Amino acid sequence: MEARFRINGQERTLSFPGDAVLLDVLREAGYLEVKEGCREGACGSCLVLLDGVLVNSCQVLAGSVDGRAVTTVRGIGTFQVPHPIQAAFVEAGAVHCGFCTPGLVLAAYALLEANPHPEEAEITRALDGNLCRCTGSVKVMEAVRLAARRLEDRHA
Amino acid sequence: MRELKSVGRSTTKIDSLALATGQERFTADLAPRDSLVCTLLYSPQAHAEVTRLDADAARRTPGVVEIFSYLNVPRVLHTTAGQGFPEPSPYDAVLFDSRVRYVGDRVAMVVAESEQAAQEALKKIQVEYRVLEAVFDPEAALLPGAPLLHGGEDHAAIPVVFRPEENLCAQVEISFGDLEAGFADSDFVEDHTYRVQAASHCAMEPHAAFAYLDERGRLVVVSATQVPFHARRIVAMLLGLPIRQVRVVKPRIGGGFGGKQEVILEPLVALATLRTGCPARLVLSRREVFVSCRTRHAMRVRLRMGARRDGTITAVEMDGLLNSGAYGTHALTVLSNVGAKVLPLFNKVENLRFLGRSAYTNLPVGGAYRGYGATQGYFAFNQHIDMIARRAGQDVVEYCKRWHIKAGETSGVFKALGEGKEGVEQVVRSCALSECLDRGAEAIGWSRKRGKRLPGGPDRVRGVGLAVCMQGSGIPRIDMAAAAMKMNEDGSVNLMIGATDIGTGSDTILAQIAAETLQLPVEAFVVLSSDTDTTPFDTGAYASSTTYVSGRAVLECAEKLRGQILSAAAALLEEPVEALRIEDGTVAAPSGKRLSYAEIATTCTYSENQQQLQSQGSYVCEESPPPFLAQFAEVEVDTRTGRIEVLELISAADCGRPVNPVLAEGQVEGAAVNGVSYALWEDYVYDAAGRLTNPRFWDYKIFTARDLPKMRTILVDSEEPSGPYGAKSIGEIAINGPAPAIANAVYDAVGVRLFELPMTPERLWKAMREQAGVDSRGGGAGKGGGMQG
Amino acid sequence: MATDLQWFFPRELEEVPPLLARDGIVPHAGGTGLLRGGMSQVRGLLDIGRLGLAGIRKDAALVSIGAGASYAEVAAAAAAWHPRHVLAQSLGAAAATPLRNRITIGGSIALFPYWSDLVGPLLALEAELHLVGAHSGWVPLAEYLSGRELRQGSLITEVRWREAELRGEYRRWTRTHTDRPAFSIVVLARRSGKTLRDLRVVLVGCSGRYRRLAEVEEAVGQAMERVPAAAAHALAAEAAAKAEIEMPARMGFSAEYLAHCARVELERSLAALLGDAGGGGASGPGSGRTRGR
Repeated sequence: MEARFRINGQERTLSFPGDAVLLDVLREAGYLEVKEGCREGACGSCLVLLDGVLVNSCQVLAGSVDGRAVTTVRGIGTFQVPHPIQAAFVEAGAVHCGFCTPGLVLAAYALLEANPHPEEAEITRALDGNLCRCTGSVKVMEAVRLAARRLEDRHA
Repeated sequence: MRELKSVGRSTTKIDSLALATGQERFTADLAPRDSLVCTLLYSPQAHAEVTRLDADAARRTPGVVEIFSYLNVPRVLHTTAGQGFPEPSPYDAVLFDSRVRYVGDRVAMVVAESEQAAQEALKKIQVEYRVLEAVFDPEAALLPGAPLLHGGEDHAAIPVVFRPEENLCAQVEISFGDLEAGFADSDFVEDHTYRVQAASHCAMEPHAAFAYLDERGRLVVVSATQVPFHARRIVAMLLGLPIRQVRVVKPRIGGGFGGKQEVILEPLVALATLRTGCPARLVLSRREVFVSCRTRHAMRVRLRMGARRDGTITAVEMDGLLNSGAYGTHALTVLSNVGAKVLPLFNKVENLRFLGRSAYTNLPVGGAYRGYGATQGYFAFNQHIDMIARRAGQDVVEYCKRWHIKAGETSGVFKALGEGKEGVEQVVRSCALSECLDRGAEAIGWSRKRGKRLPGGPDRVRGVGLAVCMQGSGIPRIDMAAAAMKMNEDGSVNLMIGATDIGTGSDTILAQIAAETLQLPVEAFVVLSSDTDTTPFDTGAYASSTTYVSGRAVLECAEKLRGQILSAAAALLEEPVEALRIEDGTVAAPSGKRLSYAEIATTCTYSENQQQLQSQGSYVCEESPPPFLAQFAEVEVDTRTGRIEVLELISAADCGRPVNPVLAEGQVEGAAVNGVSYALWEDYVYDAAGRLTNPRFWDYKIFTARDLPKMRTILVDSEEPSGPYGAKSIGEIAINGPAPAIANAVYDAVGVRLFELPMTPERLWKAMREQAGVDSRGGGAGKGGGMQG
Repeated sequence: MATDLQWFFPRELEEVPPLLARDGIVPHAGGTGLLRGGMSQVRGLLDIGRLGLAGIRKDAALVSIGAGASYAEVAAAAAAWHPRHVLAQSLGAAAATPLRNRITIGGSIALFPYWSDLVGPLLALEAELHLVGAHSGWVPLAEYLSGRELRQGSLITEVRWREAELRGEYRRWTRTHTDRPAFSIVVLARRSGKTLRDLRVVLVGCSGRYRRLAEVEEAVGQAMERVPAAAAHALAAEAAAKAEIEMPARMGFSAEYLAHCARVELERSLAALLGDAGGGGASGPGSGRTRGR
């Protein structure tokens, strides 16, 4: 089947089998920053924003999201102009092997867009769909707190 | 020493931004789009002979290019262990065998043009098995009459104990002093058996590799491997190629923790490419990683320690039985480390015996896993120390401070227990463990909480516990690392290292060491690592060797380059070289004349005294200076359900001088969190037929941010004289302490000791009930804490 | 393999029944249940996304939720009605953040796994479902769950119940925090001042998958005053002791242990409900304490 998506702001028309999941469709189309870690919706490596909502792309049937906007980690910032959240992850030492990082950055982004001043419990809840074996999520928590402060300063 | 400018700074990891912005590519991302897809067929039986394998129908599936099995792949015995040659692991594996030894063992490989064609073909391969009796318990496996997994031509590559006719794949025994006299001299003996479980590394990136033939027919393998040089050697051997015909490249790796210190995928993709002439890729699913890769070795440790009333330990006997699983990779070396990394810590023990055995069973295969035997050994050892200190009426923090090995001291275990050969005598030169103990105890509020059983609410009681550990920094006289550098005309330096950054940041810290030596910023370095064609040798990312061993190689290499720069500058400035000094990327003379590295390099490249400024260095460590760690846990036990909540975990670590404190903390924290979920929840659960029932995160639980206790890392500096700028390694040690610290804290809270991992709430609940039963029958000490059955 | 899977995107409810009547066509909402269960028997997917079933409405006491609403949306709406609304507690803790954004009310009820964080609260709220298809009209949730015939060939379009100041506790028993519950417990009652009325106690995950614990509701009594903590604990313990709880072994726990824990959690949630010191605990993984996680 064929479907149209707006991926990181760019219109794409993609073909795929009827039972394809969004993860595979995105990777086939060249969005390799979306990773496969478990294919069971547990690790968060495949997270994307679907119309701004955080989802596991391995748990979304691509056929059902025709016409929707998809944002990957490359859609919120670039190497040349990183998003403050990406910069905060770097600064806090929260990027180790980096495999889970795109998913974590998007989870933090989804949180801070909706809730710019999250409490601890809200941060941990926002990250409860991400596994990070390298950092154990410890520096990741610091990165999100730092990102919240940075975004606040930016808006001040 | 002058103030350090680079080492000791929390420099941002050089790849962090590219990773955070999704720029970086991992192995599965790099595989050519048109590469052939490899897929594996696994055994459904725990132990069987393949009596018939018919791949004809499968081969005829459109899109299928080839199917490999024991029928068309030569048997070359090897070990998959990523270790130095000759490996201390037995040569008991072949690429495809006609016998399968665990549910998940490899039977065949399909190579096809698409994922879909491969899956279709997989279903059409017809295999008939003659089922053999299987054995899952290592004790049973060692009994006469047990079904045997190995034999025939399987052999050990070095002279070690290897008796496959008994399912014994490794055995180690050391002793000194007089054990029985030691026990006779004791006032009490604690004799307990501990059990620890298998676990999966859960690196977020599943294993992946691809291969292709370059323009001149050389085989190139790109793999998420911790051991590119070992992979090259083993691939060459298995495929009958000279080593110079094989190139192995490690791009980014999404975590390893020991799971990728194994040469499993590389020979398979190489085989596919060699036979078909086409690029071929193999990317494993998470399920395949759980089942068919490697695990932590499950183990049973019996520990018998005798002590006098004053706490002096007079005798230690440790008897360990490692469950090797179906193959013996790392079975000797993990086993050896159970003793080698644990027993020296309390080095005043004069009467000691360590007996270790590894047994084959028809289960998934144990391999390298962060901690590497120390984790298993410390679960037992630290609980015993807690018991002995208590019986001696002493606070365990003070007890450990008194008895642990100190700087200037040695232990007979260092020399007695190596990895397959004799160990290396060494004297500990840096140890800040006492300070780690003091600072950690203060941070957790030890004296306020210990023994107080503070209530945390109705039916909840709290306790605190301690664990102390040491690890190593590389394997002495075995691990070798090398580095090469060349200066570009702008004064920047290409740093070529074999060392393998698996997310640890080794590219960055090795650049920091070089930067310190050359007085350049880290940004001036172009780091190239882990390509067997272009970077010099390094054993790989294991044994906590990178900072210390690879670091020394980089240091030596940088010092030589510095010497060249000074010589070249002396000639250009016409000043004696002894008078010159290096300052921030320039060379200054007493006369006031000054040349930048760029000026020197440009001149040397193009006009005068022409030469390439370049150097190289190699280092093999003569000793393995241990990092030390004290971990403190505060737990809260729900006395009605047995739920254990870890409130806080404090890790006070001595890694010499941390080259990059934030990265060092990151290593400690990641390892510690892994240690906590290992202590409480992770487990390999098999059914009666030896099948793993929980090969998914659905039922293999690891922590998310929501599960985290309050975590604190305290880095306590000591200065290791043999380390690069005083550094020791830090990669593994922090995974060793959480389980025993938590067990000791649980005992502090409710007076019940758990000897088996994971410490599930049901196990604690049952143990508390049994204790209550004992107490109500009039035995045992009072327990307090509001326990209800 | 279902690569020739057909998709249908009806815009009107009338299109649904004939599609569902066809062999191998099943509804698709968020898709998470389908992907977990496997789609080898599925020939076609009826996507509900364009039927306008995602609304959440509360008019005075009547709440109405479209089958396409997600856990995240319902949890947020419920939290706005009352910070300790039972659905805010249950759905706010279920699964994980990105999954809560996809799991739908209708899909979850239709699947009704033992680990459902939705069905217990809805049973306690005495919710009704609206169906179209082989069966059409409003049915009580309990009837839907027990009647196979109601489930075949029907699509849930809406769920509704009367709120009427029902407040209470939700407990879920997990291993780590991001985990399905081995069982869950809901206790709800109408509160006016110190008086509690109309107690509902539901256990999900027991043998038979769920049970409304009428014997416990009876033991507590249908109308009572909230009492100080110590008395609340005593009352709760007495009532919980009367519960008939039978659990299967699962998730690494034995049946005996799970039954014991269910009883303990039941007692604790009743004590929290009955105690007049502000309605107590939150839902940790069965720990019954707020910990700022």
